Amino acid sequence: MSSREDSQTTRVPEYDVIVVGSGLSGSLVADRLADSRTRVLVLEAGGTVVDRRDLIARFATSSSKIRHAPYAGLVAPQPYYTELRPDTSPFSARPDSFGRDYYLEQPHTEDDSRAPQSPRSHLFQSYYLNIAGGTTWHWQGLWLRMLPNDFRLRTAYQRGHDWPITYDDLADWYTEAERELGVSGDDAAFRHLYGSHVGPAYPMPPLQPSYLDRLFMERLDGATFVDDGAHDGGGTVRTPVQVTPVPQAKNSRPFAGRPACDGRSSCIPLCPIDAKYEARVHLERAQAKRVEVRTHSVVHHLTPLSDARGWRVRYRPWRWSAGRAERDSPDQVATARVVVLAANGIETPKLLLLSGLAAADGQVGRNLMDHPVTIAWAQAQQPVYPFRGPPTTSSIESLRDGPFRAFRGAFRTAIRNDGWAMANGAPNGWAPGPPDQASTLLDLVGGRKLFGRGLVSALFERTRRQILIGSAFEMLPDPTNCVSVDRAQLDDLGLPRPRIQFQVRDDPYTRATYEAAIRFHAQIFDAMGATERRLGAVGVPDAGSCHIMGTTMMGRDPGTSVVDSHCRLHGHPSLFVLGSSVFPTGTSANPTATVAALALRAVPTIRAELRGQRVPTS
Amino acid sequence: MTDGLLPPLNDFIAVSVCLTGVVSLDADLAEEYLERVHRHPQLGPSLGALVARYQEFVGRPERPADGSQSADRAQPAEIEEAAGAQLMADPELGPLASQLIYLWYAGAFFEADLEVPGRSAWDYGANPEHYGRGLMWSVIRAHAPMTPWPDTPDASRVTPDAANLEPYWTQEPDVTAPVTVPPRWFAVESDASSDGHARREVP
Repeated sequence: MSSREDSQTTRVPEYDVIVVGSGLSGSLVADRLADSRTRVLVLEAGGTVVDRRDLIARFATSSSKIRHAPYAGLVAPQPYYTELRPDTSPFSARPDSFGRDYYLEQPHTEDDSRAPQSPRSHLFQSYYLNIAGGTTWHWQGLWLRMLPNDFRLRTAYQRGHDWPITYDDLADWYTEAERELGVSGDDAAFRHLYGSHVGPAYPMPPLQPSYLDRLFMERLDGATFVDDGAHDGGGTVRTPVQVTPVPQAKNSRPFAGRPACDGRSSCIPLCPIDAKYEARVHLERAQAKRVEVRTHSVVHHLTPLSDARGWRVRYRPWRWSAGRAERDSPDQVATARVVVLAANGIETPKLLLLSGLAAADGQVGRNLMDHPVTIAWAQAQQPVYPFRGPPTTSSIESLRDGPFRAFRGAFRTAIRNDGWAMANGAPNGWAPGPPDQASTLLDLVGGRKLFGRGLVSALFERTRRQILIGSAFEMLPDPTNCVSVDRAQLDDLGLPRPRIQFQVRDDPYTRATYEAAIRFHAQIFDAMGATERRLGAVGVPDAGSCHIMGTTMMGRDPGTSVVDSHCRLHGHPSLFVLGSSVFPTGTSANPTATVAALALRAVPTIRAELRGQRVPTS
Repeated sequence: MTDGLLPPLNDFIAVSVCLTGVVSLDADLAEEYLERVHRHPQLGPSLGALVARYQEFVGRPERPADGSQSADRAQPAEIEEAAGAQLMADPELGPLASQLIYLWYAGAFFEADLEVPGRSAWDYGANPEHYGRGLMWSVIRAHAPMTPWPDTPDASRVTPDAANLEPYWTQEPDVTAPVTVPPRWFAVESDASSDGHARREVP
């Protein structure tokens, strides 16, 4: 230990609170804690966006147009880091790599390790942005509250875990978060959805359903989905399904100084006009209230100060040099009475493990979950005119709860407005496809040698009926799906890379989930009179959702969880862990609404801790 | 025509009209694309031959008497059809003809990925404007993601209650309008960004 650290550890901590990570949780907490009496420091691993125009230009000139394309040169080492290095041009889409330039893959079995390439079910297909404002830069902005039964999966359906908190514990915080971020939604549609959203109305009316959505609404009016009861020996259950506008943290009218959505159709990877909420909104507010933010500061070790006075936080400054991140100066140290760890579901457990803060029973990093996606695409009977408006304006939330959850997972089904883009990079295409499915520019010009007016009419005809739906499903917590660290495999800053062992299981529950989603997609296509159908395959997730959950699970029992019901590390009540890593189950809801609600809920507990009035666990 | 020389803009536009099937190509954009193709190390040297081959079929276009560069140069449909088919089928010139179509439709060449052997990838070039101006978007009655819908009224951003009650994506698009090059967007938005929306900064 240097003499500087020595002296720091013997003094009163410099800060009241250090927030590690400036994504949604970190920025919300920093903003709320900021006042004249509270000294708050935010340490952000990545760089900062100076000019949105630069992001737009990077996207427009990037080869792949994938979701991290605008952020080159701004991120600390992370998945897809090599593509985000500023001298990498043009960036390439590498659909088979899935962030392997950063994630280390850990085979589950000896069979896996012999295979030249892991099966898709074993790939962790989700990633994040190490940048000021976090992954909200390229999130889609969908805002789904969890359902009451999502918090009591074990009690209600004998699956997974119960959360140590209930829907009612979070209901007011959801409402608060909706006001804070700005959410547009259809109150009538969600007020009665399995008992969720019982609070005040969303702050803004919904983003309007697309022309395409309305055709789905017409065709699916009165539809039901049938569970035949074969899995549990029960009777047939018919669930009415309804297409509803999906709530979104995007402005349907001007809100909080930001404009209304005008339909740029690029929520992922970036809203060019600032109509979609980004955590930088609260980061900027916090800064305006004199919260100190240090970017390019990768925290890699936390040490408790003696006598439980707080924490010593060690971080590594860096800068871009010759197209990569390079250490900028010796490691720095800051101290605080309370630390809020909000670095996402990969980096947070990694930091706890590097700090030796994982309890002996090894729960840190376990139960990694995502929402695996199975997609289906087809040509609709009538023109739908895709590629217009936000990527999703309507969805089907009807299959998110019910007795079926005892034998298969819940899922929510999104109706995409961007044609077959997810499937084949339409309308231009990623690569020439099979001639019998020719639909993209590459297919029709490179494959069929079309040109001139024939090309104009073929592109028009082959594009205007494209529909694509995707169901993201609940996967159960599984302790063997885990994040660990490999101290021998270092990133550009000399810090250990995460090793990931992940598998969407091949078990009856998961197979039944896939089968139900695929069957539902076929039923929707029947209603749409769709042709040229391509349905997903059981056991083959088409994508991840970048919903990284479960690796610092919340629970009452320190033997089976990592944080308590107030998101405090068991045994270390001045260390708060925020983000979707605390989720005990994945549910079928996009996690961000719950992440925001949990962050806001933590603030009074943090304040009480600072006052020396520790809040008891519930 | 000698390889390596920049063909006249009108001749470039004429062969572009033939290959794209769109009669009203933007002359300023054509000038930028001509330069882009010409500078391309593999495609540039064949450009003169492509233009010459096209002219063998259709004859040299007559220049307007006033020397202006009208962008409308449609040939009779059968002649265009035959010329285009020949160019696309030509073993030497076909690949360049395809790349010219990609450029007009996507704003990009589709060519060998420098970083992943055996793969090809889109190269949109250095000018952000080109991505948003692909003919594709007009053909399919859409707009390139991140660019504005061409008829977006500025008022939709600022009128509190009337905003977005029936935004464009709720409507069936006008499929009778002629296919055109989408308008400039990047520079336009940069100029307009003094309202602070587009240039919001994280300090």
